[in-house]
Amino acid sequence: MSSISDRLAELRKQDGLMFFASVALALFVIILTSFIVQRSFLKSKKRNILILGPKESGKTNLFYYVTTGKLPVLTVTSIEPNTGTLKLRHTPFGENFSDVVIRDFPASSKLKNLYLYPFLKDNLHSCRGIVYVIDSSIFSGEYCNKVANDLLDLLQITESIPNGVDIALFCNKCDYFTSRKPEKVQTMLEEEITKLYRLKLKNLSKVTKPGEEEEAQDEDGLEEVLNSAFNRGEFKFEMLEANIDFLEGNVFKGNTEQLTNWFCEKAAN
Amino acid sequence: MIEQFLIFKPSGVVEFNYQPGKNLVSIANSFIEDVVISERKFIPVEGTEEELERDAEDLAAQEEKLSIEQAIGEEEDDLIFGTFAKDSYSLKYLIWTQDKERLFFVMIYPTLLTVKKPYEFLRNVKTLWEKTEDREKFSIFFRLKVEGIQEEIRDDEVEEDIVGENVEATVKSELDGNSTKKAKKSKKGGKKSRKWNEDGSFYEEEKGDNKTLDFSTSKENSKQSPVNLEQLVGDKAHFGSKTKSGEFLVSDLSEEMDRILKSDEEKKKKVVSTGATSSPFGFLRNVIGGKKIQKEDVSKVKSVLSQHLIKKNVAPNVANSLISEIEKELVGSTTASFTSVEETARKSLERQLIKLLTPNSSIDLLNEIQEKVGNKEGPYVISVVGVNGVGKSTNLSKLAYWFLQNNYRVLITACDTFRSGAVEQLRTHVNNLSNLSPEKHQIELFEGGYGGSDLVAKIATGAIVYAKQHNFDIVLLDTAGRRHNDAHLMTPLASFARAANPDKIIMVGEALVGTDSVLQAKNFDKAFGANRRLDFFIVSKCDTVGDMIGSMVNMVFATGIPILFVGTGQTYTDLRTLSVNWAVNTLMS
Repeated sequence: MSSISDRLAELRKQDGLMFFASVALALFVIILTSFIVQRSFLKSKKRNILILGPKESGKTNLFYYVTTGKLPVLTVTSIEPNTGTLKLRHTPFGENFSDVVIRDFPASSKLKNLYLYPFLKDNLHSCRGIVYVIDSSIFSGEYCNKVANDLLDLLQITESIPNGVDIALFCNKCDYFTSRKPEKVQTMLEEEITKLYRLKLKNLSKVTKPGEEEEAQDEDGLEEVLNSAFNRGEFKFEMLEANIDFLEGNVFKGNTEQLTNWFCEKAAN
Repeated sequence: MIEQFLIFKPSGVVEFNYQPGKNLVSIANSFIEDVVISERKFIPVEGTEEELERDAEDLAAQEEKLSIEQAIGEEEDDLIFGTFAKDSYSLKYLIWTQDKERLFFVMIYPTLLTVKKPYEFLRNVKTLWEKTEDREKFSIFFRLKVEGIQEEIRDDEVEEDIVGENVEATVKSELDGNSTKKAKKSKKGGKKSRKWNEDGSFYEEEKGDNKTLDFSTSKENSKQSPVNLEQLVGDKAHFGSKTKSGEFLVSDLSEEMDRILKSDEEKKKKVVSTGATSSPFGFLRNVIGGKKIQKEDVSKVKSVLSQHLIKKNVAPNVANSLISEIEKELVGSTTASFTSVEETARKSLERQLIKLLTPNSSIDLLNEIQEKVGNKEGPYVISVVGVNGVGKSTNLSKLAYWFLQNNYRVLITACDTFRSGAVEQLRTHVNNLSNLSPEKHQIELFEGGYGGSDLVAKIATGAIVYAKQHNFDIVLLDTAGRRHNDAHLMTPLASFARAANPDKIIMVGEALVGTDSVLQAKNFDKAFGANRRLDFFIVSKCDTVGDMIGSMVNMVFATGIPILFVGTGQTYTDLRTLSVNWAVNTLMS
């Protein structure tokens, strides 16, 4: 600061034109650097928790509940991701989570390719956790297949970094007559993923340009990421690097106690 | 009447919900899925196309178009009107774009009813929403509007001289109902708007029946309502003292509504576009970013991008449709830091292409086959169609090879009874494949010789029966190549699809073809009748075009059907799944 003021004092003696020019230049440099610093700063500091899951499982409702403490009147299919900071009530931590960013991504596969996967590619290391919401009241074989497919894609990305990304599989609408218990959901998913993974190995590889062999090998490596999770051909969630918790509750009735605890745990670390 | 009216943001949060009856959110969801996310508004250029569409349209649809045009009237860039129908409900929508933020106004009503001037109604509601800060008040306005539109319809139904009485009577009964608190669902809204100004009942209502006030979007209704009521009283004073009786207030409220609507129109005329470079250092923004993109900026980039796409073999009208989407997205937005307009437009195009080429649901053919075969529901039937010489038989054999590698028993069926040598060609493939297959008798050829088009269906059904008897897992039907614009050749496809009822119909299209791929895809998609569509595309000969893979974009854009595989060579192993990232990178490079 002193050098700048010294220089300014000198400049004051010189003619006004030079003064203004240098001030403008200095301001410009200051703004530019602060801008760049801020950008890089923001990028590294934020911690992300993602909300994913199949459509109509209650992602947007959950997002609103954990960011504002209220439920929206009604929600329709999202076409853009939601972003907000975590705001939990009735916890010993208070509302002190302003640096935890909650992101709710739409479920449509077109939009996942547009928003979720590019986001994961760039920000995987800043992801503290993923809440995967499912509707346990309609958890049939078909639904299970969809979820398993989606999880398999997701796990291939998240398990590629050391320790992976912790996932909370949140069984929404757990209090319905038709709802399945988290334990049942877990075994169904494990069986389904085992089946799918075997089929996937038989499937055709993706198209690549000749001379892009390296990239192709990368993708093969991605497949191998999950191999450690297969114990004698059987997929087990425990074998993954990350912790997978199966929680239950109902966002629509404000029953998210287990999830709140999970959030506290992830945000406190 | 109007069953549901929703105002929602792209994030999926509903801002305003008018719902007198049951919840029809599923209709709105399928609207979002089909229209907003898939976003394939085709801008037809050729005359033939328009003629075809005109034939298909009935009178009602034409009237609708007229009313859209009326509603749009002058050029409005930030408003998009449209209609959608599902399960005997009609949905009219208005998408309002302001400062990059989209807001959706959606109105759902039974298809049997006709709502007069729905677009004008939507537009008025939008204006009200825009001008009314107080959401509580907006819902009152909205109810008035709905009542207005409902009365209009009642006018239509009842003869003219009775109408006056009728309306008066309903108004009266509503007022009566107001004091006696009779619950009449459809008229609830109207009642509420009135009762607040009758000083006596006003507080009673508030205490006794909190629920009746609960029609706003906010959850903290009970807290807010006293404040809002005060505001309403303030309004009353503003309008004058004649608001003792219900009717006067109605007219005042609608007056206010009209004033809002009028002021909006006046304002529209006054809008003058302000230049982006009006501020000092504005020129720097071109480099640094943060520049507000104007129409002129985009138009320069537009032609460059569409030329680029056309060079990649994308049909001109597909390219134009894509680019106009981008234009809509870009105009009014600001560039990110250190990016130029060109870069922003490229990014936007890339996003559009990713969105287009990603299939709506995951393609998992093996899983489906496994399921059907595992449940002993008979063989899984796949049929291949396409124009002459695109590689139907070759790609069929590639598919067969892949299935053989997965230990399925495959029956190849020669349904091409036209071209001489077609059966022999398949026999060669089958001989090769049976030599290559891990076990003998894993693959067989089912043939019925050559003949007319009625023979085709017979062979297909015969093959399926044969496959059932001999425990084949998969039946592959090879059809004759046909010109897509020859009705004489295309009509047998419908009866073929009915007879064989394949689990999957796959169209093979070649990457070599240019603009014609749009019509090819469209016509083949239509050929199977009303209840059957194509399931997948296989794009063949991708190795021959280098990076000019635009016909993929054409076919997917024209029909919305996903690409299953791409063929990349002559050998049986040259079949690949499409990687969206690869395709987009190739197209953008």
